[in-house]
Amino acid sequence: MTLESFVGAIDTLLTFEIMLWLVIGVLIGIIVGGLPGLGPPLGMAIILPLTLPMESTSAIILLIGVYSGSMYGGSIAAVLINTPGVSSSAATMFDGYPMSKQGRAATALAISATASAIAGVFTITALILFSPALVEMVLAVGTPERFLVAILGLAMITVVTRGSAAKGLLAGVAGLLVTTVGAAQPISVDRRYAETLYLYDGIDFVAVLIGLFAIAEMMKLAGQKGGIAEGNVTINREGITNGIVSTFKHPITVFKSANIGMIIGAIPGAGATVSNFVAYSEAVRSSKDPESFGSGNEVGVIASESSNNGTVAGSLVPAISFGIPGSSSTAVLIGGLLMHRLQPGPSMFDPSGELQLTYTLLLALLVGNAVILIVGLSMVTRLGYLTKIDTNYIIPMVVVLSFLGTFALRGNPIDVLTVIVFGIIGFYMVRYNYSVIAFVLGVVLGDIAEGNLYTALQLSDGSFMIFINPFEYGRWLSLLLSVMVVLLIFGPYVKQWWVKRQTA
Amino acid sequence: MDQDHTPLDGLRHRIEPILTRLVDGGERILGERPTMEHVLLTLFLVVGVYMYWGASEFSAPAQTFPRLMSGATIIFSLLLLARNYLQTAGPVLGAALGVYFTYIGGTAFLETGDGLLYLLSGLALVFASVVFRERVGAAIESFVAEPVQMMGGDDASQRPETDDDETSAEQRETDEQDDEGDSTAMYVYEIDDPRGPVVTGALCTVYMLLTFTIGMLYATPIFVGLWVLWIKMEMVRAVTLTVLSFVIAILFYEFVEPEIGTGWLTGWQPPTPTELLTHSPHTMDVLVLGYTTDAMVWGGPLL
Repeated sequence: MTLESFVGAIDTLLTFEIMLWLVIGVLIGIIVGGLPGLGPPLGMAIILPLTLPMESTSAIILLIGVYSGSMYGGSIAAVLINTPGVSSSAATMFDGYPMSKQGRAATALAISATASAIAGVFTITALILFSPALVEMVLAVGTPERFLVAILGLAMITVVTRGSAAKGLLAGVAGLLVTTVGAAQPISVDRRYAETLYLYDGIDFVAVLIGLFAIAEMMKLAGQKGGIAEGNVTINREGITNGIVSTFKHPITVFKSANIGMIIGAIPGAGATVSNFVAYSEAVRSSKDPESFGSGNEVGVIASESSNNGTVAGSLVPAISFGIPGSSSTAVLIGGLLMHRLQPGPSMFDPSGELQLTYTLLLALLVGNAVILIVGLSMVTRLGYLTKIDTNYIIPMVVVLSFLGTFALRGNPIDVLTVIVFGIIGFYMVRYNYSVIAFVLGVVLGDIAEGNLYTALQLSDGSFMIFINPFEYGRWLSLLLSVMVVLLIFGPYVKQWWVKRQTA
Repeated sequence: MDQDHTPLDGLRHRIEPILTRLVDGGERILGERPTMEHVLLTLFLVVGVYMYWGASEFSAPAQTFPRLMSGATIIFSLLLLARNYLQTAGPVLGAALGVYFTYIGGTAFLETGDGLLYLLSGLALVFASVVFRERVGAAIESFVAEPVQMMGGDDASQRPETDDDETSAEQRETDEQDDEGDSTAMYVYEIDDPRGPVVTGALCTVYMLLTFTIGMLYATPIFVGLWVLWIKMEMVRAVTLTVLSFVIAILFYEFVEPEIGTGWLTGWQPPTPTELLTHSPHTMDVLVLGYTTDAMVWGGPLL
C-alpha cells in the first residue's frame, strides 16, 4: 500500500499543472527570499489565502515551492548586500559578502544554489527512505500521547528561545487561547464569548498568521533604514563554474551540514536560523584553516547554505507527523494544510488517507531543488536586481495584498480586524522578546491539542491521571512524555540550582 | 526612513505631559518604567480574565480547554507584570493558586471521589509557599527573569551574581536583550525611526476603518496614497504605485471577492470603476484631466 501511494505520488507530481505550480512557487520563493525584509513565512502567509480556490494538492505544492525557493533566495541579499533576506541565511553573510567584495559574488551565489540543491535532494531522499519507519511510529502514537507531543513541542520552543521561560510559555498559551474563540471544532459545541455571528467560526488562524508575519514585519521594516543595495556589485558569469566545482570538492561539508540542518530542523522552534550557525561553527571547527573564515572562505557559504535547505526536510517531520511546526514557515504550511481540510497527523501517513499527498510533497521538494539549481545558476547575473528594490514600494504592496487576501478567506470583516490586532501584537511581541513562533505554534496547534485532550479525557472519564498514571491506564509513553515536558521546562533551573549548590 | 516635522509631532507634544504623568504613576506601581510591554501584558491579562470568566458559561466539555489556557495566561501575565516584586508576590500567588486548587480538588473529592491530584498539589503548593516562601520567591523570580538554555553552555549559571535589589530594571532589560540577541527561535531588531512603525500601524488602522465604511476597493488606493504622501515618494512613482494598488483591488473585486466593494458597517457600495466607465462615455477624459491637473498642481514630488 505504501509503495502504491509512492507510485501514485509520482503520477500526481508529473502532471503539467502540479509541475507548473511547483516552478511558480520556487520562483516566487526566490524573489520573496531575495527581497530584504521579506522571508518564507511572510511570502507563504500572503499567498495562503490566494490558494483558497485551488485544488488542495496544487495549493500545498505551491506553498512548498515558496518555502524551498525562499531558503535559497535568502542567500542573494546575504551575499550581495550583507543583509540576510531570511534569518536562515545569516551565517552565509560571514563569507558570502567578503567574497562579493572580492569580486566573487557569482561564485558565492553558484555555491549557494548548488549546495542548497544537493543538500535538499540528499535530505529529502533520506526522509523518503525513512518514511516507512516514520509511518509506523506515527500510527503507533495514541490520542493522549498526541496531546502531550503538542505540549512537548510548545515546551521545547520555550526552552529553545532561551529567553525568560515565562515569556515563552505565555506566548504559547496565549496562542492556544486564541483558538478557543468560536465554536469548539473538535467537539462541535457553540462557544461564543460575544453575541456576534461574525465570531461563530472563531478567529481565523490564517488571518492571525498574516497579521503576525506580514503586518508586524512591515511595521518593523518601516522603522528601519536601508535595505537596498547602495553600491553596484559586479556579477561575472565566469565565477559560476568555480562555484559548482568548489561545492563538489567539499562533499563532506555538504553532507555534514545537510545532516545538521535536518536534525535541528526536526526540533520545534529551532529551525534554519539555528542550523546554519551550528553548521557554520562546525565547518570552522573542523577546518585546517579556521582563520580564513569570515574573509571569503567558500566552505563557510557551503556549510550555511547546505544546512538551511537541509532544515526543510527535518522541519517537515514534526509538522506532518504531529502538526507541530519546526519553524514559522512550517507553521504557515500547516495552516495551508488545515485550510484545505487536511489534518496533520496519522492520516497524513495512512495509505488509505493522505499518504499519497505526503509523498507528493516530498517528491515535489526533490524536484523543487532541481528547479532551484537550474533557476539559481541561470539567473545568477540577474539576481542583484532583487536587492535594489526599495522597501518603500514593498511595504504598501504587502499590506494591500494582506488585506485583500485576508478578506478573500471567508468574506468576514472580523478577519481584517484580526490582521490589524495581531499585526500590532506581533510587532510588540518581537520587540520585547516574546516568542512569536511559540504564539504561532499555539494558534496552529489549538484545535489539534484540544481535540486530543478531549478524546483523552473521554478515555479516562475526565481524569488527567491518564497522562501520568501508567499503572491504571497502561500508557507508559504518556508518562515518559509528561516527564519530558516537566524536565524541559524546569530542568535548566534544577541544573542551575544544583550547580550553585555545588559551588557553594 | 527619516521624516521632518509632521502633524504627528504636534499631537505628540500635546499629549506628552499627560503621558509623562501616567508613566510616572505606572513606574511607582510596577517598580520600573512602563513600556508597551506592560500594555501587551495587561492586554493578555484582561483577555485571560475575560475568557476565564466567559468560559464558565459553556458546557462542561467545552470549558475545560479555554479555562486551562486562560488560567495559564492569567498566571504568566501576572508573574511578568509583578517581576520586580516576585520575592513577595511569588509566594502569595503560589499560595493563592494552592488554595484554589485545594478548593476545587476538595469539592470534587467530597462530591465524586475525584480531584485527589488537585487537592494534593494544592495543599503542597500552599505548604511550600508558606514554609519555604523565600526559596519559592527566588525560584519563581528565576523562572520569570532568567534565561534558560537547552542548546550550548549554560551562560546563566556562569554569570556573576548581583544583588537583585540593586539591579535596575533597565540593566536587566539590557541583559535580557543581550542574552536573547543570539537567541534561536526568535530574533531582535533595531528600530532607527520609531515613527515608522507607529505611522504604518496607524495607516493600517485607517485602511481598516475605510474598508468598513466605503469598502476595500476604494480604501486600497487611499491607503497607498496616504503611505506615499508620508514617505514623500517621487510623484510619478507615487501615482504609479497608487494606480497599481487600485488595479490589484479591481482584479480582486472582479475575480475573487466582490464584497470588497461594500462597506461592512455602512452597507454602502460606491459605484465601481466598471460602472463609472459604463455610465459615462467621458469618464476616461475626466480621469486623464484629473491626472494632468494633479501633476500641474503638485508640479513634482508630492508635498
